[in-house]
Amino acid sequence: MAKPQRRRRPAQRIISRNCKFTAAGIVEVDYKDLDMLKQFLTETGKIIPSRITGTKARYQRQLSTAVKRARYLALVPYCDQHGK
Amino acid sequence: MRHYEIVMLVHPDQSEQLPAMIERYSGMVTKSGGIVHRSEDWGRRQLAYSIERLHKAHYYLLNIECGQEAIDEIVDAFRFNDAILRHMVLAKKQAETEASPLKKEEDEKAKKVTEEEVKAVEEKETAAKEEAVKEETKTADATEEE
Repeated sequence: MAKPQRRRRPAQRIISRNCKFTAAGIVEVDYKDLDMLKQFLTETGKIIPSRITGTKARYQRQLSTAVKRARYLALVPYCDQHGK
Repeated sequence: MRHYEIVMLVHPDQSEQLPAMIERYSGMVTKSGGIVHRSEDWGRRQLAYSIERLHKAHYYLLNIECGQEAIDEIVDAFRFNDAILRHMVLAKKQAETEASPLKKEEDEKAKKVTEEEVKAVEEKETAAKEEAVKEETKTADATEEE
């Protein structure tokens, strides 16, 4: 008997085609701007891929270094398992 | 001479020593012929995860322009200072002088707190006045009944 095929869940996050950084005219993504960074992180603290957020490649690279800097300084968590 | 950005996390119990420490480090910079472009106190912040079993730390940001020797000396001083939990040095292309987003956030919080305090005091005053008025009417009623 073949297993009943599970239906794929529809995408929960709205896919955006616009780059927020280009729209805001930002020169360099700042690791100190936590409100901005948190828009690009999941609840578990992972960086959301650019294919979902629509971020331009150049800004996505900057974003990843910015998030990593913020993580090192404990401004943003590495994951949601800290202190367990 | 290059531009550097330094962020340091200071032990919350030793945050009284912070002004003296900042003075010492900026002294190192100016002595070597450098400039301090930005010096920001972010205050005690909740850490996203515990560092050395601490949940809070005092953050301080410095934007400086100095030579290699001065920055080496400062980083060395950080290593030997037990009060500094963590530090990060970044090379920047130009001098940063505007207030950072975190500092702005902090300032807004402080403003809100003061506004709330003012509101609370005002509310208390109005409440006290109302009570006084009520008591007056009560006493007046009592006298009338007599």
